Parts: sequence; C-alpha cells; structure tokens
Amino acid sequence: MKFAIFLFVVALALIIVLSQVKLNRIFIVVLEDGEANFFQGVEAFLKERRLRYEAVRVRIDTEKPKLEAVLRKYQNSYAVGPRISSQARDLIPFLEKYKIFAIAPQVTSYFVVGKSSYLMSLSVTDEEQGRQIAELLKRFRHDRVLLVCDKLNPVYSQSLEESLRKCLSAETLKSVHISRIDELVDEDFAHYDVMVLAVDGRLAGMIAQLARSRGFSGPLVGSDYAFDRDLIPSGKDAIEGMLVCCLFDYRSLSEKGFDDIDVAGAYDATMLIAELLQNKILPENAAEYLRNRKFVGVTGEFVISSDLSSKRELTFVEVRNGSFEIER
Amino acid sequence: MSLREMVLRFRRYGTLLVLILVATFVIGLFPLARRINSYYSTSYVSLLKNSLSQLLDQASKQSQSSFGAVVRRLNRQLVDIATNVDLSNLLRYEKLPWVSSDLRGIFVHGNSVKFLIEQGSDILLVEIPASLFEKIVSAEMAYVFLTSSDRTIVVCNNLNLLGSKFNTEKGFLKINDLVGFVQLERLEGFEAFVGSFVPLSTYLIVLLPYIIVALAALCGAVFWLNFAYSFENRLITAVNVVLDNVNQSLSKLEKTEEVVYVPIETKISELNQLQEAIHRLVEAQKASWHELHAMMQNLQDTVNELEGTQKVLEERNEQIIATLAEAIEVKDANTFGHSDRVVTLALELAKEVGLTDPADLEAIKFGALLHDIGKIGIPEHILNKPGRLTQQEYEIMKMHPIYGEKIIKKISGWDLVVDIVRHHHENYDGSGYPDGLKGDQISLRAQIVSLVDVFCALIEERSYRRALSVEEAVRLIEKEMVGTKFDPRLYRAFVRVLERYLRAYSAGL
Repeated sequence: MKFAIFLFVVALALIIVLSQVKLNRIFIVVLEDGEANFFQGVEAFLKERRLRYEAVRVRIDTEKPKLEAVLRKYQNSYAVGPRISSQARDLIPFLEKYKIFAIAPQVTSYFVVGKSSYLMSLSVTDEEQGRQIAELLKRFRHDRVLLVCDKLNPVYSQSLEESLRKCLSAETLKSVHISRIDELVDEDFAHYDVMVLAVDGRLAGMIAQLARSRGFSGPLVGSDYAFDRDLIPSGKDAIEGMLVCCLFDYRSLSEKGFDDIDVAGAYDATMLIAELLQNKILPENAAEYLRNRKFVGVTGEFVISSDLSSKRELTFVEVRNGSFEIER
Repeated sequence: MSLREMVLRFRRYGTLLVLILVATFVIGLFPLARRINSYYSTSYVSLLKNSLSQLLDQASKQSQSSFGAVVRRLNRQLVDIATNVDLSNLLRYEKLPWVSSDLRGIFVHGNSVKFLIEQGSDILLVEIPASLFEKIVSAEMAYVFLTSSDRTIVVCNNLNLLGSKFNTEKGFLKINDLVGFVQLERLEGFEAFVGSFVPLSTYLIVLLPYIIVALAALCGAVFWLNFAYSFENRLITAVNVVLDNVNQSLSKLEKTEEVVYVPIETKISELNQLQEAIHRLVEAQKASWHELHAMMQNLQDTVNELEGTQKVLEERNEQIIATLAEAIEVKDANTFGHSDRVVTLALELAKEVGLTDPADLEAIKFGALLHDIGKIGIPEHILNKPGRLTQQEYEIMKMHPIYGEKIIKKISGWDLVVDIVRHHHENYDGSGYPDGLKGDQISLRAQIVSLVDVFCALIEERSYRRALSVEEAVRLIEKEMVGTKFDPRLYRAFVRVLERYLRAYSAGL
C-alpha cells in the first residue's frame, strides 16, 4: 500500500514539476510593444553565433498584472528592450523585482537611464542628442522652431525638450505634445521656420505630409525617435531633405547591411548579453561588469558609461531621393 | 497445469492488463482533447467573430470612433480625406473588404488591426487597437485570433502572439515558447481567418482530473501486480523449500524409522498448516511402524517357539517311530538292524531315481522304518519259526502288511507311508500280496522299499539260512526277481547305488 501511494505521489509530483520546469534553458527576453523589430535582431545574432539561448517575446503593452506574471517566469534573466523611455520607466520596478537586466538599445531619457542597475542603453542620453540638435538648429539660423513631441512617450519628450531648451531660447522653441495627427490639423505650420519631430517615424512622416500640405516649407529635423523604417514610406516626398538623428554609427549599419535600426540595436544588445552569459555574470552584477567596457558592434564603437548609457558618436542622416544618406 | 505455468500465465495477464489500461487511457485522451478544441473553437472563436462584427457594424454605421477604435474615410488612392495625408505606402488592399497585415498603428497608438471597408466611392478605414481584444475576449485557457490573408496574426487576446505567422490551418505548433494546437477557419466576407490556439498547459489543466484518475488506476494495477508478483515469489520459494524438506524426510523414512520431520516456518499460514499435518502424519507413520515392528518381533518369537516345539515333536515322533521299529526287531529276532539299513539304502535309491519331493523322501524314510510294523500282529512262533512256514502259517504271515496299515493309518498325513507299508510285498508281475498290484500300479516308493527290503533280508543271517554276500544277493535278485518281482529299471538304479557304496567302502569312507 505504501508503495502504491509513493508511486502515485511521485507521478503527480513529476507532472507538476515537468509543467513548471524550464529544463534549464537560458532565455533572452525580448521586451516588445509590436513597434520595434528587436526579436529579429536577437535571433540574427544567436543564429550567426550558433548560440543555444532561447529568445522569447514578451509584450510590454499588455496589462500590468499579466506582464508581471510573465516576467516572473523569466526572473534572473537578460532582456532586450524596451523600445522607448516611457516604457522603460514603467518597467524598471519589475526589472528590479525580478532581477532582469534589460538592454534597451535606444532608450535615451536621462530620467530612466542611470536610474537603475537593471537597465542600460546602447545610446547616448537625450542631453547629448538635444545639444547636437540644438547646434544643428543654430546652424540653420532660424528663429521659430516647432518641436512636436509624443504625448504617449512623456518621459522622452520631457528630457528631449529640456535638453533643447538648455541650448535654445524660450522664444525660439515652441513645443506641442500630440498623440495623433488630428491634433495638428489646426496648427499654423507656415508660421515656423523649422520643425523638430520627436515622434515615431510613421507619425513623423504623416506630420511632415500634413505640414507641407499646410504651407510649411522650412527644414525638417527628426530626433532619434523618428529614425525608423516607416519614416520614408510614411512621409513620402514631404520628408525629402529632412535631417534625422541616428543614435548609432549609420556608416557601420550600412556596411553591415542593417537597414532597421531596431534590429541592429537588438543585435548588439544580444552581443552584450551573450558575453555576460558566457562569463557567467548574474543579472544583478551585469551593470558592474559592463561599466567602462568598450564594445564594437554593428552599431559602431561604444563605451558603457557609469550611468549605463553608451558614449558614442551620433550621426545625422539626410533623406535624399527616398533614402537615408549621411549628412555628417 | 504446474505452479510455474500458472505463474507465467498470471504474469502475462498482468502485463496485458497494464498495457490495456495504458492503451485505454491514451485512447481516452483523444476524444477529450477533441472536445476541448471543439469547446474553444465554438465558444471563444464565435465570441471574437461577434465582437469583430459588432465593432465593424458600429463603426461603419456611425462612421465615428468608439471603444478606442478609429474610423477614417479615405479615397480610393488611400489618402486620408480629413488630413490629406497619403497613406498608400502604409496601407494596401487587393479587394474590399480587406484586413491589413500591418500591425503598427496609423491613427491608433501601438499595434492595431486595420479593416478597409468599401463605403460608397470612398473607403472606410476602421482601425482598432490590438489591446482592445485582450479585454473583450478575456481567455486564459485558449487564445483566439484573426489573421490577415497571409495568415499573420493581427488580432489576438494574447498580445505575445501578434505578428506570428502560420504555415498550417490545423495542427500542433510552437509560437513564442508556447506549444499548442492551432485551428483556423475562414472569416466570412473577408480574405482572412479566425482561429484558436490551445496551449498544452490548457490540456494539462483540463485533463488533470482524468490524468490523476488514470494514474491512480495505473498505480493501483502496478501495485496489485507487484504485490501479486512478490506473493507468488514468496509462495514458489516457500513451496519449493517445503517440498524439498518433505522429499528429504520421505526418502529418509523409506530407509530408516529414525526420521524427525521439522516444519520450516514460512510466511504462508496454509503452508505452515500443511507442514504441521505432514509432521503429524510422519509421527503417526513412525508410531505405526514401531507397533508393526513390535508385532513382527512377537510373531517371530512365536514362530521360533513353534518351530522349537515342532522340532521337539518331530524328534519325539522319530523317537516313537524308531521305538516302534525297534519293537518289531525285538519281536522278530531275525530282523535286528534291518529297518535302519532299509531306510539308508531306500533313501539313496530314491535320490538315484530322481525323487526329490521332501514328502516322498519322508514317506520312504518312515515307510522303510515301519514297513514290517504289522509283524507285531503275527504270532511269535510263526515269526521266529526256524524252518519253512506251512501254508497256513504263511497265510498268517502275509497278513502283516494289512496289520501294519491298520496300525499307522490313523496317523494323519501318513497316507504315503501307509501305501508303502501295505504294498511293500507287491510284485512287479502282480504275483505279490496283499492286493496283487503290478507294474506302475505299485507306487515307486513302495517298489523302492520292497527292493531294498529284499536285498537287506538276503544279506542278513536268518535262522533257516546263512547271510548272503552283497554280490550273491545281487546275483540272486537279478537271476530270480528282476522282471518278476522288481522293475528292471529300478534294479539297475539300485545296482548303481550299491556300486557307489562299495567304492566308498573300499576307499575307507
């Protein structure tokens, strides 16, 4: 009788354990919102290096309890993402709680980068980007600048605007924060000399079309946010001549055949994660390990700063004949 | 059927039982799994279809946003009429209505599903946030989705599956670390599919009670078999040990009575009882053996005693008979020592002619000793008359065989002796007395005694003549009596006996 009970309990325990156990697999969590193509970059690196880590998508635009339940499953692991700073701000508590070290390739806001030892960026912060965009605007010698920000990415919008305002006078810069294009229908675009679009590429293109159709003829400048694969299809002719800030070394990206900056960022993020895993660095010690280390990836050469952002050269590209070309 | 064969058959049936149980449980899983699929296909998928239908109906009728959905009017070139933004690079369609496979929102933040519906000369773009379906079709156990014509998921109640692409309409596959069963069906009116994805964990959860019951039954069967196997092993071992013990004890019991059967303690009470019974049987056997032995000993003692008594009686008989014979010799002064000689030679002659039956030899012995017992009835003056007997006297003398018969015939078992006594004066040619028998009518025993009696009488001295030598007696017999008084064959045998005697005598034996 004891044997039968023992057998039954063992079988039951085995079923429960098998349903829960991850069989010692190593996961790389891809924090996605459906807008960036991080997963492709992660898989490309793993396939190229023949690594047996498993990439798994986790949607971060879901409800928080669901997101937490999923992240709980992957605690003590490494992640690629999120895409934008506002998402990073919301994720940090979960990352710290479940000890998930995330490498967000293009998160630039100093309101989030450097605020947690579980989040790092492959990009410079908005402070540097703002400074360089401001310098570019000064080069144009225009007095009326319209900054269009994403209301749904407030963290980034705030830090970029702050950075610009540090270099530009209040009279020169007017900012609008929108969540959809309809909010700009009544805007007098003809009034402005320059427009800085700090929204995603798709929206930036549509705004450019709207602005051009409403009489705006000045130069267009895009922040790193606008530099994505949808900017050119969305903006069509309206964005011809537009200058866009690329956080990575665009020459290197072109040479390596990466036309999607999200894929390239995820590729280099996975490169860092692979090094951490191969050196058996736990997520809680990853920040310490990475600080002041220099890497050369498809995104170019970069050094991890003490605030877990990356020191690197920014590139400005110009849209010419429906494609990006290096401006400087 | 032997115990071993029964055990083998039992094991085969046991294994068969377990296999049948496993097969039954496995086969039973399939209809249950089909039922689960059917449940989610018919409930959740229809829920998704209804939700989509309602949203699209509402949007197309009211031409305005609701539930976070955005409705835009586009011209045929896909230019947004309100903003004049050309969306032809972001949207495309082959025919209307159409579900776009593009996931990025245009007028909606984040991912969205975009329906292009014909409305008059324009096209209605209905853009619904993908996250809305997570709320509308809240299902933890299964995921329902809508795919575009290229089977890319554009709507799903699990956002992690958005953008995934299917190569098959039905079957098990792995999507984003989730293994499950997918089933697609065409969405009426659209070049699109709706379907369900049931993760394996759902099957496990739903089927858990069944699996537990199945496992319990299987464990029960395995336990029962294990118990039965261990019992049969114990049984076989115990039975073998007991059988060896019994066989050893029985083989000893055949040789000696000094056997002590010691039962071996086993864990099977029936075997212990059997051994106790065998122990009692062996002890009973030993007791009856002892009793039989004692009885046989008693019997043997009795037999020995009887044999002793018989021997004494026989000796006494012989003494009585010898006394009788001596009485005759005392009465007949001419015949002293005659009977002893006749006995000796008659027995030798009987052996010579091949008589070996102890009854014959005994009859010859006593017949030879007592053949003249009837002379007791003959008056002494006739018996011891020195001269020739008168006819009358001779007639009286011829009565002695009849008197002899009368004397001994009451002795039971002496018929052969009586025959010798009555007929020892019968002649081969029938001229003898008292019955005038001839040839084979006269028993061989009587002929032997008759021949030896005549021979011994011839070599003994009588009052009326001297004793003849052996050779004279033999010649006389051969000349005057062979063929008339005696059988020639018997005579020749007697001669061989005499010759043997004479040789032994000459050799000093």
